[in-house]
Amino acid sequence: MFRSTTSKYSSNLIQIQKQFLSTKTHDVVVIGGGPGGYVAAIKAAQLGYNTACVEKRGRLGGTCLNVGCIPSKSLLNNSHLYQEIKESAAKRGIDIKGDVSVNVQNFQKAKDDSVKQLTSGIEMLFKKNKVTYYKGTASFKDQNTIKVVPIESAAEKEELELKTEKVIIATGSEVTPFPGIEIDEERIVSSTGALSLKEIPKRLAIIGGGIIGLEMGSVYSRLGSKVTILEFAPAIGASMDGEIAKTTQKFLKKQGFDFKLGQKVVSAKRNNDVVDIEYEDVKTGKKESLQSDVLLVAIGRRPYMQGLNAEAIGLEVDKRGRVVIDDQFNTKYPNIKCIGDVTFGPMLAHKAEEEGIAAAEFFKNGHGHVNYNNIPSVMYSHPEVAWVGKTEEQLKAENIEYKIGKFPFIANSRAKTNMDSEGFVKILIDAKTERILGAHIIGPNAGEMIAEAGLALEYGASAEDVARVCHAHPTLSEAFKEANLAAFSKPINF
Amino acid sequence: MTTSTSIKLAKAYSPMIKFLGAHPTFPPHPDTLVPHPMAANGILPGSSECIPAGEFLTKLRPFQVFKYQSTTQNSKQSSAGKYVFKNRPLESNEVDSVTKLPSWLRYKPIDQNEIDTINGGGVI
Repeated sequence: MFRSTTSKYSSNLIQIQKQFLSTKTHDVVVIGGGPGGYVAAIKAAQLGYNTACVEKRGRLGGTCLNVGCIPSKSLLNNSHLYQEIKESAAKRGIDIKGDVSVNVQNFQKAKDDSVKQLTSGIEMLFKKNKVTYYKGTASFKDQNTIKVVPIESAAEKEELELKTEKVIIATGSEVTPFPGIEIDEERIVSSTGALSLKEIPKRLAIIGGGIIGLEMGSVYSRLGSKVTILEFAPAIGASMDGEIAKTTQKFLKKQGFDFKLGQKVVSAKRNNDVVDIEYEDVKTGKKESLQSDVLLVAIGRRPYMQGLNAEAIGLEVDKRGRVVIDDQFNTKYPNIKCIGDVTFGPMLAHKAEEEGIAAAEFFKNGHGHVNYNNIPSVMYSHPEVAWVGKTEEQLKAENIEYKIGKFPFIANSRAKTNMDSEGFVKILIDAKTERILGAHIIGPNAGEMIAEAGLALEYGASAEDVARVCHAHPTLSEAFKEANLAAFSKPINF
Repeated sequence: MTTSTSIKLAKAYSPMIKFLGAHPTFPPHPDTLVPHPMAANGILPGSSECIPAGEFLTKLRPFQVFKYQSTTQNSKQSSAGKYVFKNRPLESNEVDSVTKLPSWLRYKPIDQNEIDTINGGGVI
């Protein structure tokens, strides 16, 4: 009898210990470690919250760092360098003895090294800011309880329950599949597979004329692939200003892109080492076919919340699967906020970052803000394309009278000395007040330069305000100044 | 400045950045729910336009990566060519030698006259 009482006591103690060990409490739990999630977690910790972040990928950084922005920029930069060396070294006075070629293995390794360094960097930031990082799949048990099932590579093998007052959902997005086309990530690839091709395809077909498709097309076009873009709409670059989109298409065509616009892809089938694609004209129905070595399906991304068990707490989405939130990022529960690609707004990493900060500030101060009229977009082709604020089409639709100021990089001394002068800066200003309404740049360093436009927009600057600021010479930013000068007066150097 | 332009500019976003001097006091949030600025048609959480997440996910075709099955692996090509011998009994309409075909299907041997004509180049 003594022995059985002791056994029962030991068993109960083990149960209590197990329960005690498997429950942790945090003030804020962030689900998802991408640009939105990790920034929200760090900000929440900086604001004094005991914060946890749960990520199931095994590495922080989300789509952006692992299979999106960062790896693609590595490929774009290095392929651009390769093309520059091959095509313009001689005219720059650099003679190269021997052949210049791409080592695909090292090309991929350079990309992988950048990704690894940055994802480790975020883990360091978590340690620095005392954010508890759980490698696991998070799912709702109830409004205040998150279950975490560890992934294989997690050090902690035990399932956990996180008790929390506040949750931020930042589960991001995934590739939108094309109905009827089977992606194998070898010959028929998504953007993820396109970043890791084992060889440079002779022929690359891309379904989708948006930023992802055009950027990946740029990489492989520079490395020698024949790139064909199949786009349903009559123009590329859906959210671009019309003139900018046309100019972009022209320079990409000069680089060897073949555009098939207004075409609907009917089928795509892999036959061993080739892909046979059938498409038809949207207007006439005329059918054509195309064969490529690799087909990239880049028709967009969609919100992702698989495994979250959102149904357990009755979370709601709209008809496109985006979590429905209000202006404070609240879902139907005020203690559960949602940010980033999984909810409304452009699917951009920097938008998610801004929302991450705002969501943490809303929890702490009752106030946070994101200016959705001032979110820049950048396409990292060469020349780069960047824009912020209104397009001409939007201003016309809203019946706003406007003036245009344009300045070409061919008249910019820095661009000329760099032998990189394709493109221009276009500024749109209110016709009466001359307040800057939109800025559109095609040219070298457009992605960096657009930040000045963003600042001007945020401050409510007029074109004259910008034009009267001294810009260093010789710099590419002088083109931005001159475009503003052209908007309200006349440029000096053109 | 026309009225319409000034109204449009007034509705534009007011900077919340901190200029030199006192930090701006943030306006209190109204008691009512306000739609997210990027929400389509001003949809609000808990409104009738919302769809339960579980219901949406059950109808969603998941993103999948399919392992490619090569068609050449299934044909089991022999070194002799694309035809593969399969040992099986004859079907009712099959024979295993041309000599067993009905006479009207067999090749007829050519006679000596035809041989001489061919050898003579068509001239007899």
